[in-house]
Amino acid sequence: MANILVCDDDREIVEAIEIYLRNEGYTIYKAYNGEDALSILQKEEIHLVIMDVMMPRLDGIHATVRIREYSSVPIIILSAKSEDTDKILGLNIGADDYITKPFNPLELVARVKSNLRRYTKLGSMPQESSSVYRIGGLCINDDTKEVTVDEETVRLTPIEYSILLLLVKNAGRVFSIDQIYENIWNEEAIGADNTVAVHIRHIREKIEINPKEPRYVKVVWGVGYKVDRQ
Amino acid sequence: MKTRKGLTRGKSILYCSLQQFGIWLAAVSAVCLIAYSFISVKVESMNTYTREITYTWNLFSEDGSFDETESFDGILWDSLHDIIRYNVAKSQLEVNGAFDGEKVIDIRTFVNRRDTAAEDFDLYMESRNEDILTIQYHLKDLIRWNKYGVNYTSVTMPETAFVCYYGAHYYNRADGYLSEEEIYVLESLLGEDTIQQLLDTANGIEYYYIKGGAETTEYDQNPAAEAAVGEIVVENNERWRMHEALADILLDSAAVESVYLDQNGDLQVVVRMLEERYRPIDKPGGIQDCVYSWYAYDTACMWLEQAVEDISYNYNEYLGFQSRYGAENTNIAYHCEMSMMGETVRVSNSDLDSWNGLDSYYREHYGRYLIYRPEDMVFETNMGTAFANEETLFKAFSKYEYAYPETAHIWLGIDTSYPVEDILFKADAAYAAFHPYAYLVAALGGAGLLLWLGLLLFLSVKTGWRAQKGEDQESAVLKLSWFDEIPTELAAAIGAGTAFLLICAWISLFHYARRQKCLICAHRVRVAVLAGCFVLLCSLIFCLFWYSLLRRCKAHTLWKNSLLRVLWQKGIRRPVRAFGRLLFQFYDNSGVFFRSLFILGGIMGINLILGFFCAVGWGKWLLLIVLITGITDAAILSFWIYHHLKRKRIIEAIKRIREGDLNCQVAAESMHGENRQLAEAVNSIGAGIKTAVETSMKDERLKADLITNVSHDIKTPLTSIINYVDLLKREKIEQEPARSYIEVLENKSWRLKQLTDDLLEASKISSGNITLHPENINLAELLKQALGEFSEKFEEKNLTIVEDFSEKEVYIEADSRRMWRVVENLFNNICKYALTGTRVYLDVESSGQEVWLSMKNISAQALNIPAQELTERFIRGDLSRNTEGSGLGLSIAKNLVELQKGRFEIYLDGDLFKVTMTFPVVTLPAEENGCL
Repeated sequence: MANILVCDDDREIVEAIEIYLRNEGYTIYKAYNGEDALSILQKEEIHLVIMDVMMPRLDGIHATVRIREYSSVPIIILSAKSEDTDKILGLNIGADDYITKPFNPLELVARVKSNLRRYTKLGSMPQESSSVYRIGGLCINDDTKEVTVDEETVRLTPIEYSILLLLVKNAGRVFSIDQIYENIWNEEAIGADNTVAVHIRHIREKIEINPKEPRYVKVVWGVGYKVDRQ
Repeated sequence: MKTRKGLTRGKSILYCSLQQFGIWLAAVSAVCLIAYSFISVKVESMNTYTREITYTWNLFSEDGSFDETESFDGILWDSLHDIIRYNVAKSQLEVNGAFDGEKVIDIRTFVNRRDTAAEDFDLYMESRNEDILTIQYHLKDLIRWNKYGVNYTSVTMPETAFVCYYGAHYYNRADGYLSEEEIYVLESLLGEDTIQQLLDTANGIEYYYIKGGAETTEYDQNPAAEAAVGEIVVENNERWRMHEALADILLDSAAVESVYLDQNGDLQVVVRMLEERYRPIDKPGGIQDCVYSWYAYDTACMWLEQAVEDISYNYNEYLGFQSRYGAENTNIAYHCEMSMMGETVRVSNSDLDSWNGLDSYYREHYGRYLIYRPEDMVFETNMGTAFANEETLFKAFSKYEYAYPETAHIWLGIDTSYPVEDILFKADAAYAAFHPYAYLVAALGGAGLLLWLGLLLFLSVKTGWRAQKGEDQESAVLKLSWFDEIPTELAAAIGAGTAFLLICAWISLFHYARRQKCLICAHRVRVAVLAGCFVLLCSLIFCLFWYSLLRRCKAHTLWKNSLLRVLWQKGIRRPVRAFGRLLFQFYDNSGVFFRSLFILGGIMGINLILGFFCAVGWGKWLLLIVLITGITDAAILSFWIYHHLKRKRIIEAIKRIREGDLNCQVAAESMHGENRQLAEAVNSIGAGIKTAVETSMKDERLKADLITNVSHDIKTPLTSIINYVDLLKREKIEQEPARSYIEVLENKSWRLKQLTDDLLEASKISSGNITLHPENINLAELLKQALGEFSEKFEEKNLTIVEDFSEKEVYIEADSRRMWRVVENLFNNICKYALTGTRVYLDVESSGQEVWLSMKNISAQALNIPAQELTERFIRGDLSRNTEGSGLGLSIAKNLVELQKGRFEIYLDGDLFKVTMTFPVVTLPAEENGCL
């Protein structure tokens, strides 16, 4: 299994994460500051790094920058800072994911898995046919009507599937509720209620790790829904 | 800021010309209206003197044609009078219907034709046993003589010759004899010396002379002479008789020019006698041959003068009438018959010979006619109201007493097609030419005046602002002309001078016009155009000065450019300021009582003292007193105004501080008295508030930082708590209380996390420390999305959503994620607090300007908190913190809405909980609706 480096100055948090990840069968390396983390990275083969931001000696942001100088190992930043600006900063300097404290352990594990899969498997994926749509870890095979997220099959109802396919096919474009309704049901959206919104929530609940902070099906409040072009 | 728009040079010239055209139009119309509403004729009443008769009419009357107007009646009325006079004149001057210079006129009868003076004179002659005096002349002579007047020669004769001129009759008087002792001498004829000489020569006789003329009865007696009366009377019999007769004549006669004593002491009388040529036909020896007293001679002379004058006047009038009322000169046809001085005289300008059947002839042939025969009781007319009354008509004839009005016959007719160009023709032409257009011309004139006024207003605003093409837009610059550079006083003087000249011109023109109505009648249009041009000139000059004044005001050069200012700056300013400083020093250094005394006492004291002086009668100093009082009052008034101007500045500063300009300071150094204290106080208050605000802002920032740091610090241990509680949960603990304890731990630790997040967010929002990303969002879409998110939660609590999005697409400008947060908080609130199984109402309403979003639900618990406090729980501290959630949801929602320029209102009514949010609506271009 993969080797994961967990770096946080709070030992209890490191140990809790260790427990969760070890249960999943990963090997854990622990570091309590940035410099330790860098030295472990040089000595060991590490497949994923979980990095706190506020640490003594070398903080997580600088450590991430340093790691990115020579490695493309997935880095998940784990921070108490929940501001948008903090998240944007972290992701911009090279982190692959950002989790705010306090975190849901299950979400952490899911994200670790997701990142690992993408790091280890997706890079070597052969080119697929035109009926396969891939956005990040989300993959829709229109021939088999199969949807996978991070290689795990997700079961969607036909309407949910159609909506997701519409959004993925037109990635980057925002669809309003009425537009989605007209596209899927093929009838004019007079008095379309919140059916579409409910379906989309269901899709999110199925394909997202944290439906409140969706990675794929994003809500543009007051405008519509979209899937970002990766 | 609105950009000021100027005029280009061409446009301002155009507008100015238009304005002048307007006044020209107005003036021409007005003058036309006046000029076309009257007609004037020149009537030559004497050789030298002509007068104008003017008939005016109302152009705005209902009368269709001229012969319906009152002026028509007026002209006819005057003509009727003229015809009567013509008739009278004719009776005097004509023989058998033609003028005859050889006609013999008895001036005695002629002169006294109006009264009974002739009979009185006849009585006088009779009393002296003399014949009735008749004096006859040829008509042509009388007329001829008028050219140079009646001439006399002065004849000097001695007293005796004078008195004896008419033989022995001298001592007689009509009313008896004189008493023998008296001599009457008119004082006016004698100088002081002459009287003394008279007294000396008539020594011993009682002399009386009458002071001041025949009527005065005040006698001055000479008492010394009284004793010797008898002898001297006898001795000087002849002499006193002479004196008496002289006095007698002098009293009655106008013929004596003067009386004097010659070198020998003899009395000489200068008599005025008619020249040789005034010999009557029937008295070849001259008038002096047929009268027997100086009195009668005088009377005859007077008759002659009167006759010459009257006959000539009548002759002139007769000639005038002959031409004016000849058939070829007038449209008025007439037949007039009157009995005068015993003979019947007829006048007519008609070629009709017969005087029979005139009634029907006039009725048939003339548009307007008058038939009047008082003898036969015939009075018939179709003319206007002026002729309606027979009484007035009768009076017109009665003026000539020697004529007999009841014998008059008159037929008057007017050919209303006016074949002859007389006054009626002209008046009718003027009336007909202008009457139909009177309203139009009046309207045009009014429009012109309005145009002038309108453009005056417009140009008053615009003058001086010259349009200038900038790079991207037009702007306006204030531009002054060379005229505006002339010093203000000089320009004012020029203006006043010009105005004076123009007014003088107006007055003289007006007076000239009043005397030259005929001229105006003949050249109505020319006069109107000329008057229009003159008004235009006046308007032009007025505009030049008026606009210049406005431009000066706009450019603030009215004072800057004045000579007074130079005088002020060069000379007066310094001493005035120094004096002012001295007064202020005194004012500042005295207390409130003395300050009041300084101002009010000053006025009252001086006014009182001067009033006292007035009262005790320093009348001649009144002007000086008024002057001093006025100057003092003016000085104090100006101080008062100065004081209040400074006070106003302080008030303005207070206002600005109140509005938040904390750096505002009043210049206290330039103020005095209470104003300075007030200004200093305001300044220190301003500074105090500034410090307070800075402190409070600093505190607020510190608070926000504190909360941020604390919540970060809380989060790290919280992470461990949550993680280890989770780990504990996985330990498969079987004991029942322990499991539920762990459940509680888990719930509360998550609640703690929520609280921390909310706290952080609330503090950031309330300190305004967030960045908004406004975009156009559709409120209905947002609500539908939110309903989708919450559908299961609502179903769990069995809440029915009743939505009424009357506007399907209402766009507002807001940060979409923050708006979602607002809706999420409110929906969460509903889920938490709404009574299970009730309905929740969602309404979106729009007025086009604003959109209201309201949510209504029934609270499960009684709402015993004021609505306002629901959004302020975080700040106020609420006692009941036992519900789930942080209690910050509403507060966050409210703050977020208000940050996005919306209004957030909570309304509680019993268990009804209603939230209303109001946002300004954004109108989108149509194509943006779909996708972004």
